[in-house]
Amino acid sequence: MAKTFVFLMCPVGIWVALLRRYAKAVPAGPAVRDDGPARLLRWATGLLSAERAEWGQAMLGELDYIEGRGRRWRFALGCGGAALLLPPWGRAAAAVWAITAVAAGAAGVCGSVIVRHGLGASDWVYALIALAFLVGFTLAASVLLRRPGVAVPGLLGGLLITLAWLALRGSPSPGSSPRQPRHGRR
Amino acid sequence: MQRNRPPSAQAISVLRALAADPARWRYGYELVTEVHLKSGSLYPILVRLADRGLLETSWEPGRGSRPPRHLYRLTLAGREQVAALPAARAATHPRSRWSEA
Repeated sequence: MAKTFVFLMCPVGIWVALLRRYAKAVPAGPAVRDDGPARLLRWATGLLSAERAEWGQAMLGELDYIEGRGRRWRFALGCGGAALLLPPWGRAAAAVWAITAVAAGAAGVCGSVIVRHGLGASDWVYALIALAFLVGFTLAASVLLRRPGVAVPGLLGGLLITLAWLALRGSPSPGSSPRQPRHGRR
Repeated sequence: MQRNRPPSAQAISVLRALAADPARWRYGYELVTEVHLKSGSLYPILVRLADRGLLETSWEPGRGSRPPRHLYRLTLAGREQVAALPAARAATHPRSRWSEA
């Protein structure tokens, strides 16, 4: 029950942080469309270094004149990718890539462990859930890291959730038997 | 630090599209459709061209509640670069370095 609560609260916390961030990130200039492509591109261009900020505004301004959902998504996805790669990287973009590398490393370690120990179907479901949460935390961290006022509470919250999860995982409920390792299966 | 790289085929197509009517200011999406490049490829090319002084940029004021729009056209150096491009590529080794503007 407690584990379910922790799992349910994680995405709620992430979405609250995202919504707070987007609500405060709306520029004070002329009104721009606020659909999915615009929000995605606003997030990506926000990672640009100050030296490239004008190019981010150029992409956002151009997007506003593009009609058609498909065309807007293609334009926003392309520009978003370019904004993440465009040198010189700002601190935020570098941090996003660092977080992504750490998350990919963690996913790789988890993957190698579960493959090595030969998991059953139910374990794969848990592994997929864990992967989804890893991606969620990566996205949330990439948003939070640009807001120092939110980043520290966010980091502490994440650490507390992790500790709570580890503590709960470490104390099996009464009556449950510890899982036997499946070494030696042929 | 700028590197002395030869222009990619995509960069050349952007330069030629801009050189077709060098006095006219162009929109980013107009170039996307004209050159058949993805936006993720076009904008880094525009940034590099501007960094090298081959491209000048300007802002068109927003219409009504619309945001301002970025405009692009070649500088004089950019036009000279495009004019020199076919001769330079034909006369030199294919992997020769492209001179900086």
